[in-house]
Amino acid sequence: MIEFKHVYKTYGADRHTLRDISFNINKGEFVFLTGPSGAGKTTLFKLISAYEKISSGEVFVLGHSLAKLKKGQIPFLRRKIGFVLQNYKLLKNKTVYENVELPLVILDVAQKEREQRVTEMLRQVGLETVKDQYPDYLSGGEQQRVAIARALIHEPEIIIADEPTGNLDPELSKTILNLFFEFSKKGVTFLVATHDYRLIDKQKCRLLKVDNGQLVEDAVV
Amino acid sequence: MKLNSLKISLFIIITLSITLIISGLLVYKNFVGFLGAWNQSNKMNIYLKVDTTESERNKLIAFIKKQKSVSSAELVDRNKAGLNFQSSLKEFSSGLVTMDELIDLIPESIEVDLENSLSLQERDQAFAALAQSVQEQPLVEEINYGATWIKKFEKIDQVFRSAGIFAFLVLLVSISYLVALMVRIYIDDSKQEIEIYSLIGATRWSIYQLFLKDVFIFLCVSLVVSFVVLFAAFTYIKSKLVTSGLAETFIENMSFLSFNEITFVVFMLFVFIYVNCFLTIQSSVNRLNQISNE
Ligand SMILES: Nc1ncnc2c1ncn2[C@@H]1O[C@H](COP(=O)(O)OP(=O)(O)OP(=O)(O)O)[C@@H](O)[C@H]1O
Ligand SMILES: [Mg+2]
Repeated sequence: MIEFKHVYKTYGADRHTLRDISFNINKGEFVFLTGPSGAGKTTLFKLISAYEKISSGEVFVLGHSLAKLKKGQIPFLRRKIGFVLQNYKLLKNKTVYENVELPLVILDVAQKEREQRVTEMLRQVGLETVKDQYPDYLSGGEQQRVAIARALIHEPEIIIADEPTGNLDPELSKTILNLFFEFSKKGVTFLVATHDYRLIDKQKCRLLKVDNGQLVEDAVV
Repeated sequence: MKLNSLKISLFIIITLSITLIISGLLVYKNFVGFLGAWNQSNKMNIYLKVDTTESERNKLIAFIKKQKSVSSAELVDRNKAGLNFQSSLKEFSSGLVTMDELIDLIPESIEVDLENSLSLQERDQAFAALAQSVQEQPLVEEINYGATWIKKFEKIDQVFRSAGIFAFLVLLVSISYLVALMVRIYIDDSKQEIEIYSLIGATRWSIYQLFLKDVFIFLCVSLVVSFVVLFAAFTYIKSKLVTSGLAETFIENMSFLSFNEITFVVFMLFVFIYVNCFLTIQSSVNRLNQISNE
């Protein structure tokens, strides 16, 4: 699913943000990515989503070598990945409902099916009551759940989440994580960056730890 | 589509720009029309020698009428010419010369007019050719068609036409840049939107379309608004001028842009503004197509 082979990422002349990273994540795996602030977690996600070019090494996502991917193919790769980013990235001029619906619109899903799926997804993340609100009027936790719903709605093969529970209380974190596990059981691959060790402890899963741009741990906990 | 202050100012700029261009064309067209009207009122006078017979004169008139581009040739008899002359001099001449003396002074002439479809230059050439062939006729004393004036007007007309085209192009280019700049500000304002669309896998082309659609709507509405406003203003000004009684023939000939001209202007505006906007959208979207940490 996702494979890194001796990947380096350098910004500018000699700032190594990622150094010699190698790992392989299989289909259906649930992987946590941890590490201190500035370790390179977000950078790693930008490489996977082809927003940043790899300085050296090779990255394979869903069987495609990213270095060889043509510009025009990138959007189609991204459609198979669900993203929850650190800063949510919600459309301010669209309602919660419309935000969650967007990936289905891009995939040309029929109106009726869209409605059904969005309603169901909003229920699962507990946002039915705010579906007609605009993101600016939501709490941080609610915005985060909108982003999560949008990442899951089109049932992508891979979910990449950057601090998906950063703004949620322990109770909600558990709900969201359980939702993730549910999807994971269906064969969706998860790569979740987090500082929240309590989340990791709860579950038997794989843990990747980066520090200062290097992979320092790859273990099952 | 939701309106915000940026979209509204974009709309206003596009509308004002288009209005500016069209009103420029309108002034240009009517000024050229004014020159043309003067040109068409200019006729050729062929003065005859004294003591000609009627049959000789008729023969000459028939000969003139057969020449290229001639639309009419009429004899101006002495009495009529005298009256004209007197009325144009009015009180200056009163008492100086009597009507009879005046008529003796004025030679008989033939007034020749050309077809209206001729341009200033063509008219000048036609007059010159006509003058040459008529000159040799025995009855002819002198020919006058304001040749030096035509030459001057021709120069003015030429300068005005090329300056007009140049100004039109300069205006078009600067306006399409201005609009493109506004579009760029508008796109930069939508940075977040572009990031999100690209994140969920929208193709570049479909992101361009989001903006192209907006620009298209603005452009269409702006065009309609500008034409309607200008047409109303034009009609109002013309009606005011008509009641003022100044330069009547010119004012009556004042006209709005024709259908063909409108088509041409709309086409040019669309091509220039839209192409420029498309390039701006393309480069801006490509520049913003990344994840920022905002
Ligand atoms: N576009 C860029 N240009 C230069 N340096 C960058 C760029 N993006 C990231 N970096 C640097 O790379 C390092 C890793 O950043 P990254 O955002 O990946 O950290 P992170 O692990 O996600 O941290 P956090 O937990 O705080 O989100 C940082 O030192 C950052 O300054
Ligand atoms: Mg980060």
